[in-house]
Amino acid sequence: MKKSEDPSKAIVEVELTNLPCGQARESLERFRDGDLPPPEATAVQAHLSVCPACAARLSDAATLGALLRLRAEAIGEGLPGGFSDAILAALPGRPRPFGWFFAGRRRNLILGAVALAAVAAAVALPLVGGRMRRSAAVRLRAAEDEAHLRGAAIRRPEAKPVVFENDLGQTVVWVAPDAPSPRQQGDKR
Amino acid sequence: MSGVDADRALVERVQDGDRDAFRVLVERYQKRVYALARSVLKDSEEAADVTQEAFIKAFRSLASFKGEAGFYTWIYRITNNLCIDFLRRHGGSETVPYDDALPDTPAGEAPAAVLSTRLGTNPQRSVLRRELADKLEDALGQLPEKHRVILILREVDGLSYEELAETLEIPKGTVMSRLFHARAKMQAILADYLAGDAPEAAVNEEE
Ligand SMILES: [Zn+2]
Repeated sequence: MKKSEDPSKAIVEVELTNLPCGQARESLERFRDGDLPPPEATAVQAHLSVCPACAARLSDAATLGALLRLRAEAIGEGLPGGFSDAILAALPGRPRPFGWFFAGRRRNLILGAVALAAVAAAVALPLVGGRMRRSAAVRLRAAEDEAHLRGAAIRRPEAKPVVFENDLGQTVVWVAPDAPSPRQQGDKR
Repeated sequence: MSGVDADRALVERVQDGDRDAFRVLVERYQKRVYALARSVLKDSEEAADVTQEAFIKAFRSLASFKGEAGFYTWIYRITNNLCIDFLRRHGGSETVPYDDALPDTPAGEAPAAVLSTRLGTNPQRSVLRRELADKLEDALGQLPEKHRVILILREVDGLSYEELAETLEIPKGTVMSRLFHARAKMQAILADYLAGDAPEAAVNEEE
């Protein structure tokens, strides 16, 4: 993204470069975070829209994340009610209770049973894949909003078609779509 | 007030001798701390002990807590270090050697989309849920402890790269590569499991 010195004439250039898979993958993690600067996020999103392999990787990552969250939730539910009391009671300045919780192996069994029950009762996974893509779009819109607020125009230069091969061995001819922003009134073109 | 600011205010109250404020911190983070410990140690009882120890240790050293970082990165770091100590003391629990510098297995080339295709984006609770929970444990168990920790801190606790670097006391570049390998390996193991399943194992997870 480039910005000219005079903010009133600032132009935010959204460069529509296409990325090879390797480069897109390296950025996926930060893309998930919304941590990529808008031009890079745009490039990653564009790549995802034409590369099923990378898109699958992203949705797999989302699925994995959701599974791990469900698991952690279930484990956390396995903590019995009085756990914080036991910790508070064991703080320095007060005697540390002995056998504050279930005893030995039995405690394990109980914790395991509670965890399993919690897994069985776990709520539905959120729409991870869809949510991920939506939030990327929201982030892009936010970047555009910000540019707009600064009085900058969003300029999307015309891009040449790009030909590349994705991980599935498919040749992809990618023609950058026209993506007119509804907020181009400040555009000085 | 953001979570970080709220935590900081609580920490200040504890530093002024308010134990009830510490209770709030415990109740806010005990489940996550326990889930983290349980991910490293695999044993519920050990994890519960480490969780308790972590909070007690945090309480003891709260006077030296400066608060530049969030309370949660601090308690996670204490927890992780206690887990590592525990593993060392009880040698052999950590059976998977791991070196960040080593090139990783072809695990990175897992058949893509198996997870999201098989499990769908919205799997419902079902009999598979239990089975899947076991598989998830199994898959985590195959990862080196460092991989388990970084995955949990990232996916469950939502730590940023900076927070991960700080919590795990590793450079940011290592965070990124470790996370990449951890996720790739985990996805590959799970994909293997799921691909090996009878096709009906994945039926109708999405209605
Ligand atoms: Zn790709």
